[in-house]
Amino acid sequence: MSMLEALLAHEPAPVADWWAGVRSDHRALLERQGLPGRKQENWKYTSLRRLEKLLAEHVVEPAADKPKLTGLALPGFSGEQLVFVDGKCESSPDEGAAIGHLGQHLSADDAQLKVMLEKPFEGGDEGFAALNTALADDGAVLRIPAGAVLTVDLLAVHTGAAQAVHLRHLIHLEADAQLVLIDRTEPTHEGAAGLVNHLTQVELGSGARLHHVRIPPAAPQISAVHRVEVAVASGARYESLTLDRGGALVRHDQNIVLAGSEAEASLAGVYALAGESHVDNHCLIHHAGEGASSNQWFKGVLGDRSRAVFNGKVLVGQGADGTDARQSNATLLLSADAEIDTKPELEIYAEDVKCAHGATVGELSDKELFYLRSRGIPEAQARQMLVAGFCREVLADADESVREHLISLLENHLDGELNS
Amino acid sequence: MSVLKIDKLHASVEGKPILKGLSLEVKEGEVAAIMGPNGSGKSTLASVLAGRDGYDIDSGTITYFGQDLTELAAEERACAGVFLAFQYPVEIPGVNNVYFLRAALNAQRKARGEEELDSMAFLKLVRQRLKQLKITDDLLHRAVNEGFSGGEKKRNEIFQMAVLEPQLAILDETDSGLDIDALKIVSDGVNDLRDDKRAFVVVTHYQRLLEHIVPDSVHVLMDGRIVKSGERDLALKLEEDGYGWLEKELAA
Repeated sequence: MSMLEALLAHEPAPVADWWAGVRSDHRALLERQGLPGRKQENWKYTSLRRLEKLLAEHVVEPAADKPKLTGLALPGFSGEQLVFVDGKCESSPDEGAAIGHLGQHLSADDAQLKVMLEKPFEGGDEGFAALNTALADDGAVLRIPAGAVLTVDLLAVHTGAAQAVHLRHLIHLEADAQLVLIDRTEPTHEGAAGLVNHLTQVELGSGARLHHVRIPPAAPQISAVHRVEVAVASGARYESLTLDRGGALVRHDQNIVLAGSEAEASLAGVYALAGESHVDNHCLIHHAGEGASSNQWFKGVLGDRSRAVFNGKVLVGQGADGTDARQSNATLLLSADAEIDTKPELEIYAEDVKCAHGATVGELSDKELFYLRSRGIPEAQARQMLVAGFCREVLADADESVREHLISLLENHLDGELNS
Repeated sequence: MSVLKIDKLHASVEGKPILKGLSLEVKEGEVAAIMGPNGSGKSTLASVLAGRDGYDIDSGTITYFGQDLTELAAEERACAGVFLAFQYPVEIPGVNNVYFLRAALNAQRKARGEEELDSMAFLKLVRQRLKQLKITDDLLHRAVNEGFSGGEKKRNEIFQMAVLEPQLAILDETDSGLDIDALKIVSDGVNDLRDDKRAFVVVTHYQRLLEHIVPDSVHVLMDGRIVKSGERDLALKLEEDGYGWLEKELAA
């Protein structure tokens, strides 16, 4: 049985007829096209072979004990929380509340959800997105009313009891609503393995703001494919900040459409990898409205035999005059065996457009290292301070509710894995 | 007692000899000024003393309180009380100034077998030093030297020196690129730290700095060697007459 057949053998919970139709369309698409391969430009540097091996070798066992969620609380956090364990919602939100989950709506005929689930994917390359649509039966449903301000901790726990988890998150912010979303996946059991295939669809009404903090799982036997599809209306802003600390194969696709005039997107990310981790960041920002601005800022450090990919594409459509798009990618290589593949892509069909891009790859600066050592700081500690400083810069923009948490995740990670 | 004794030092960078038999002695409490034309080896001397990589010592000795300094790594020299105020302090984005300085002080204290300071005790010390140097705390919470003006960078070097309290401070062209106000802040800071124990090696191209930091001895470095030593009036003569007369005197 191929990996795809094995994945499709999973039976999701039954749904309403219209939805079952959407599922079978996507199943058919997958059967026709298969999962992406390295011959596709978008997957040139990321091979699924490792995922295939992982899934073939991974024996699914129900966890012996319930996951301990108390240890996963965000320090000092006071917002709402929604918890999924191995793909099923553990919280029981009220019907009709701003915060709900897809499992509540399986048999319903919800027009808004229907539109979102039937929506074609941005940027093509739909293999894992189709898989998600064919199999997802739970995920967050966040519908934030006009002008409301909310902070939500969206926690997906992976015990290793499921070979693959496909969560579908649907997020709609009405005009001028504001949401801080902390979107994290935590493996709770030693050796938890498998695929975490999340697809998040976001619609931002005019003037709305979403601050999306993304913390994918960091475990050597977990593969994560996280796709985010965002439509940004006039004057609205989408911000994401992703902290990657490793994983067998982590693939991010962030596809943003700046549909309205003066819409904004800011995608930032840190990757600090060691061992054989592989993290691939693909961003596509489609400037469709006038005077929209976007920024992509990704920084990372790579140790051992780890590998990172950054592909930042900006598409400036016809009529998207006055576009201001920037991107920068900077990577420190701490080992001769580490690798970064970085590529900017610009496609411009409009007038009066500003597009800036830059990529740097280097080693730790001898000058900086000497400066710290000349003050008495031992070399190993000096290296670590420089690496942490390099990454921390990006985290400084994180929402206050989670900034310290991100910094401590990063520093604990650097203390442990990257400190060699 | 001698703090630093350099004897017939030959040092090279990438195979090119820069210091060619340099000898110098600096005693406790002494401020020794090293002057010399561009390219004479002044900054190389400062780098060699601080232990920067890429400088090879071909022969000669450097003794610090009777100990062979060349055997120590840069961080070990710092822990032993050697401090270099850089000519071009490096910008380190993402590393907070206070955090950096506390890590440095605690690394030094740990190396000396002293107890590390917690953040409260450290901040108390920082405040004392700021007051002593009459400088404001606006630089503290920024990243190390990032976006600092030339004057701010040099002020930050002096501030670090005041917190780390070295036995031997080497100031590498600390006056370069400073306007007169910044020069005054920096030299007041140095003067404030002068006592009968702490030794200073002040490397400078111009006499100007020595109007504010009055040296006990002045040494002229040319072509990798100390060619003349004297007192403060030697610096004044160099300011007035340049280095040409010395070249002639040496050639004769």
